[in-house]
Amino acid sequence: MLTLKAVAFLSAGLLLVIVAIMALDMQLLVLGVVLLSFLAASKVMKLKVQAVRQMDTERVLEGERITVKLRVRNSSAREAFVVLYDELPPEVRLVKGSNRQVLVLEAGKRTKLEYTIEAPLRGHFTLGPLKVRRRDFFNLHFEEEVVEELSYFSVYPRVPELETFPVRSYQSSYFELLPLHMTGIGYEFFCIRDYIKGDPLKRINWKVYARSRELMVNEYEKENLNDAFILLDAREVTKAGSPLANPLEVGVKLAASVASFLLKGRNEVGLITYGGKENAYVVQPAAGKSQLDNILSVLVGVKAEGEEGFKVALDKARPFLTPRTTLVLISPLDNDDTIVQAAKDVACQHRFFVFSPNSYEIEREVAGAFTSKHTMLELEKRVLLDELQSYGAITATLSAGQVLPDIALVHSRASQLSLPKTKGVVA
Amino acid sequence: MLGALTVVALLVALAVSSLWPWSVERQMSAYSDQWNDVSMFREALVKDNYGVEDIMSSPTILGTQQDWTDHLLIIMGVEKPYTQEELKAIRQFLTNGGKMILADDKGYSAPLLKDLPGGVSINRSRLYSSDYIKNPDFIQVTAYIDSGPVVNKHYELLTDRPAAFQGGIPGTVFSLTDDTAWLDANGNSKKDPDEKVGTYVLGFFFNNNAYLSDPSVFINDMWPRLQNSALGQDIVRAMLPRGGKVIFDESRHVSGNAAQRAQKEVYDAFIFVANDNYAKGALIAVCIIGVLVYLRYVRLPTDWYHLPALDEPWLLNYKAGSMTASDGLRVRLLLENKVRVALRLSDKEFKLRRKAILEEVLDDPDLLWFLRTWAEYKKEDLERVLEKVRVLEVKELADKEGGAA
Repeated sequence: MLTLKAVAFLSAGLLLVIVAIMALDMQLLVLGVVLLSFLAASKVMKLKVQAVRQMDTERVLEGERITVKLRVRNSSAREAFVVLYDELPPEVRLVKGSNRQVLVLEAGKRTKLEYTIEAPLRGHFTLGPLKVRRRDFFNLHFEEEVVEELSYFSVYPRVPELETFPVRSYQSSYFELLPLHMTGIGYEFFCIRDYIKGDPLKRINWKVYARSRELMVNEYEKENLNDAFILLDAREVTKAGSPLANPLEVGVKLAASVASFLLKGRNEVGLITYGGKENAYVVQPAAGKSQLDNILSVLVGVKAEGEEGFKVALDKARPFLTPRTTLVLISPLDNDDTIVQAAKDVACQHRFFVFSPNSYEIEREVAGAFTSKHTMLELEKRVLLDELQSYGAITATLSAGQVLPDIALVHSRASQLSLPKTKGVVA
Repeated sequence: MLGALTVVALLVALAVSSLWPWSVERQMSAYSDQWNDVSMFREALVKDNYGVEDIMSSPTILGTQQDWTDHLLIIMGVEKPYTQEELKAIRQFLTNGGKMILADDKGYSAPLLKDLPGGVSINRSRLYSSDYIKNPDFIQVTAYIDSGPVVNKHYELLTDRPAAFQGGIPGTVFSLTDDTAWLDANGNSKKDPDEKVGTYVLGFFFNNNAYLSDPSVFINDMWPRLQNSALGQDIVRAMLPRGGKVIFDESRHVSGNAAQRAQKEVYDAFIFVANDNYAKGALIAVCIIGVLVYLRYVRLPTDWYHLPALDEPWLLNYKAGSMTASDGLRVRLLLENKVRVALRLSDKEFKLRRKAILEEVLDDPDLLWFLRTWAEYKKEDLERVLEKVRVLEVKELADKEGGAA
């Protein structure tokens, strides 16, 4: 491939030849031929440059740094004048060193390069390819080659800790009870302990008291059955804002927090992301730490895409739902025509939380403008949330910059649900 | 890189070498001192204070100037035919005041001789004569010039295997053989009965131009012999009495070795393209199309740098712009929905008693006007109504059970 200089040589050479022919001037012709001859002659043989990339880690949290080392070797028999460029994803920042280096490598010599990147955005990313551009002595031709293929790294979302969440616990003798191997309200004996003032008298173990003359109380193994399903809206509209601040990023963090909280309480948690074919993930409900890893893996990779609404996600979740399953919908609710009907269906059967990142506020912070039309859009969303609440959903809006909902408000709204519903709310 | 430099050096050397005529060995060249070149003639002219130039490329450049007074074109030993463009340029040169010495023994200048009256031409058979010196190749001839500053001068010349003119000679003859000369038509080097013996013409003047059937009197080997050099200088003196410039046409000589011939071929190709309008047009078109095609597919090296894209906005709702008159229906639906949701009524229930409900719970005249009037609302009206919808507190229905009725 030719450089800009070579194109200038080519143009000037051809122009001289043409002028020489027109003016019948042999000297101009010779000059033109000399210029063109440079182009022909500057094609040089290929050089051999080899490079290897090393990263200090392949998994980081948002905002953490990765150090990348490149070992480059000129394995040709001649000195190599090369430009190295390690392609970076646009979602990372270069904080130290440079991913572009101009090198003059003597034959057979090696060198090391190092740079550090910061990854402020969650996701699965690729580093590379590492490209080499070689130029000839006259800087008329250049060649590009990929010498090192891709390296992969993942940036996990930082999960804000949720202190409490109003999920119902079911203490009953249903056959599906899940022993949690910890003390609590249950029916299976777990251990005994010293009496503490306030313990109910019915839990005092009188046989032990008779033997030891010390008040001891029985502890029972806590039993719980609480499937929770998180439905994360990942439609294209959820990327409104900027790559760092948008409803999807808020939703990912909130989903990770809710999942983490519920899994710590030994609940079974599942996850569905919806929007399009590429980002429709289903993580079946399960308990344990590995489930959190499963959920986080999905959350790391989810991207805003598609237009499939909440109903599609709900249909996918139905095989996993039991009457006691708690549904947590995280969605800005924008442009989703299915939300009202689907919410009406589930809110009477399940405890249904709707957390809605305020996409208007987020966008407003990015765009810096606000008109009466946006007031109308915001009002429409507020009415929609009120309507969902009237069907029995527990709703909360997340303002710009807010990742966790106002838990006190959520608790308050959840407690109001025990009140009898007004006639006619559920069609 | 060394290889590249070598190739460049060779190309440059080849290109530059074509500019210097002394680097090329040619017959009858004014710039080479071989025995069969005419450098001594050129040097003599320089000594006589004539300006000496040469044409390396093509005589077509003679067509570029309007006045050629006091210019003398010397064409010797034409070894390649002229193109029509070149002949045209030479004729134009002569018309525009230029003069010419044409000394050709090969016959390639025949088109120029055809321009002359009488049908004169060069007979390429070898001329023999009993008046030779040492060797039958060297024939002695006589010449006589009486023109301009050269007054009534006789010359004894020695030629080397000359040719002779035939046909009607126009103008003034200035060089002849004796009456024992004959042309060996069949090339057997013997005098045959049908080969006529007599006087043959070797040179004549016509229209201020000199025509010679043989250039050998001017070559370096023959130049010092007898009065060859005197004739050479006197012809020029006679033709350029006020002095002037002499132009040697070097373009018609064929080079000796393969490299020189190749160089000459390139040269001739250039001349051909330069003189042929179709070829010229085609070459220019090829160059232009070539450059355009190349530029179409050329990929210049792009700058390599990392540009994070973490702050690029992607706007959805903010593309909406300001409120317009067509948003009236949407504001109306918003108001009705707000009332319906506040009263916890289903769509069906609300539609049944819509008008009555709205009139009961809304006491703002603006909102009531908005609901009653179906019109193209002004933007200001819509904004005012919207603000009222935003702060609207919906009253409870007096008859709550009525909704279900």
